[in-house]
Amino acid sequence: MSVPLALRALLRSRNGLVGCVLVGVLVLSALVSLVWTPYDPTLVRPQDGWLLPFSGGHLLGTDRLGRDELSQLLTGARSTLRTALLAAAVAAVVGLALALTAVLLPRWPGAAVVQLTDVLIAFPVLLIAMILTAVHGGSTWTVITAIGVGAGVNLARVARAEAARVLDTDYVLAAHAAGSGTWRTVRKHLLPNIAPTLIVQLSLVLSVAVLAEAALSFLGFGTPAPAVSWGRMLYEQQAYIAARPLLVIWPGIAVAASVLGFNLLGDGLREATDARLRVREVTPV
Amino acid sequence: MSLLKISDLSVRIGGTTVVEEVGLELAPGERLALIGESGSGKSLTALAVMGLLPDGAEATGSVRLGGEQLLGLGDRELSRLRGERMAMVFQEPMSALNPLMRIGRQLAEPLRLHRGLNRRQAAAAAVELAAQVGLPDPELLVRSWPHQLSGGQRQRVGLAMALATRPALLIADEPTTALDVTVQADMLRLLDELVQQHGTALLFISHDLAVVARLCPRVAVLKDGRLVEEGATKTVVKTPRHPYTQRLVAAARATGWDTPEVAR
Repeated sequence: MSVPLALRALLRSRNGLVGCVLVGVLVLSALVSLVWTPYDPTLVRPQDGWLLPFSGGHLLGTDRLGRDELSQLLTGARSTLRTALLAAAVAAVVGLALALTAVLLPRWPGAAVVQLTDVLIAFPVLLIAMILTAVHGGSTWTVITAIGVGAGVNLARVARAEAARVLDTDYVLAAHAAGSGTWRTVRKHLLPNIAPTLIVQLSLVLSVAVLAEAALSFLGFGTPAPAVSWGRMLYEQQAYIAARPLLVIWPGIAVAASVLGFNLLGDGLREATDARLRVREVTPV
Repeated sequence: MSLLKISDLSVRIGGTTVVEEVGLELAPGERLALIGESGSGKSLTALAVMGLLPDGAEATGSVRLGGEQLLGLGDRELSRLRGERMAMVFQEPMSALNPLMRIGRQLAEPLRLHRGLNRRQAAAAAVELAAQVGLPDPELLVRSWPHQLSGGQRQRVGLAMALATRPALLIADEPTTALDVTVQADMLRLLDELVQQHGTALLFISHDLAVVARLCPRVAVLKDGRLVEEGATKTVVKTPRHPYTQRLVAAARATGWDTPEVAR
């Protein structure tokens, strides 16, 4: 199926459409924050603290230290998106590498890779991240590596099952019978046929990554201050939740909407790539 | 000299011997039918020749193609021979084509692999190949996807792919079993015609004596992994010696095939 056709199928499903819109808002906010935010998100002006929405030129108000809430949200979108995308990239590399070695290696080394993957799955992503942070200190890269590896081993399990299924098909046997070598078969037959599943899984990895990034910065294991992130905003405002609930609700909505967006996008992609729901091109014969 | 010489071929899967000391010989351009019920080891014999046995299956004995020993060859050497000197047509046309690759690209795949054709030449060759196996509207067809073709059309694509490089040996593993009866007849006629035209040796695997009798002058009967009878199809049909072959002949007659139309 061609790319424009898949996109049309994606936008036709309600899940896909809503997912695209929510993810679109996230991407747009991140892009806008690159060139413009109403105020410097880290600018501290105690005399402007606790401003309500629509007051003093601050659309969503300010926090205790007088930092502009909207500016922080926009800048937070950037770090959320960057972390999520890079973590998904790490997950894709880790997952594909583990899955391919598991199915392509001969019997016992392949089985060993599967066992290793299963052991790694047992470690929660947050735990891995905390251990890494404790050892190497908090940084964006620690968070990305931890989330990427954690999600990658989960992805590896799905990818391995799918790769094993494809390797077992007659068309792979036919390709070998035609003289196709292992790598050519992987490139031309295996990867294209597991790609739809992988893409769906990766969009779910993105949603997990958004949540994990927020959780880690909330717990103080994320990118250290002065970097702005939604999790840190939640952490800093939680003591004042009774006095200024809105300051917690905004970043909360941002996290929830992003996670929902990626989840719905994943659902939409699954529907769009499902062979049974596929739009048929005009049959030539 | 024989093109294919199989001797003492045994295939073991996890301690069970599923093919036992099979010996077959095929001259260039000759046709041999290998028949037997499912589970008799016909397909495994074919896969052993191609070097495509599943994981965990182990072949011993000797398989020589044009004098070259195939058993024990590395994957790289085998890849050079597969699709070039020997090719295979599979039973299930619905699953033997990559669903995400256009027909034309699949058709020309062996030519790109073994003849080093570039994309353009391959596209032109694909149209030619499609026309050769009697596919309608080849220009348009090479641009379509596998799911847009009928079973018979897909099997023709499979046959065209296998014969693209004019291999010396074609192994057809029940190529008509999954097709409608009327399409079956067309397919057999086409196979007969092309193999004749190219001078390809044919190893035709089937469970149906009626089908192979029309196509192959020589037949070998496999039962439980052992070769129980081999000879001219005419003789085997008229005077089957082994009880299993007698049952096969009886079964073929019972399905309305009473005047055997035997190949030369």
